[in-house]
Amino acid sequence: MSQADLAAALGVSRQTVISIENGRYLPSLPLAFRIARLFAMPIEKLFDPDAEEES
Amino acid sequence: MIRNRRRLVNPGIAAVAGTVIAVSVGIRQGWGPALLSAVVLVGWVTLLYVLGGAGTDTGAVLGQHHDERQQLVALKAARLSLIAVLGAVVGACLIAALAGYPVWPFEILAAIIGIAYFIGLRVYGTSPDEPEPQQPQPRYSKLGFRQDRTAG
Repeated sequence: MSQADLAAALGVSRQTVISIENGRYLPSLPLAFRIARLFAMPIEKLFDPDAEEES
Repeated sequence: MIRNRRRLVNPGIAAVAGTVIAVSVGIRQGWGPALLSAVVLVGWVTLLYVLGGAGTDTGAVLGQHHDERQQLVALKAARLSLIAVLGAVVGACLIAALAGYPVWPFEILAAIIGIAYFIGLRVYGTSPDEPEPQQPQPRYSKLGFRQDRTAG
């Protein structure tokens, strides 16, 4: 799945997908749930709050 | 189609506001300066429209089709813009005072900015006095039967 496909599936821009991938932007809870549902994974597997605290 | 219409919002607002200003300039200062205002206005409106169609964060914000991160970018940009406006108002106030010109127009601007800021805090903030959400109280009939329960 390309970044553009992912962005279209989530209803956000490709720049936002890039920012989330690079850890420059933490998505809102609704968007995080949409991402988790899309990949059929729990949120805590996709986003690690401890990693954010360390940076 | 809707996206195209949204793209017209910012250029439209700029066009209306700029036309009012250009006509005001024309009435009081002559149509020469008004023509100059109109030329600047056309350039500005065109720039807003063209940028609004770009596939960038700027395009998404100006074209009114931004997502949540781009909305945050727009808020930060608006904050920076507000700081610049405040600095300009304070600077203009100082220059006008030192040059012996009236400062009240700048004071009005500063007051509007300050009042709008506090209104924003009030509107978008949450008061600590706000009551906790209450559980709905059961309703009883005059004979003492609960009325908010359905049969089954």
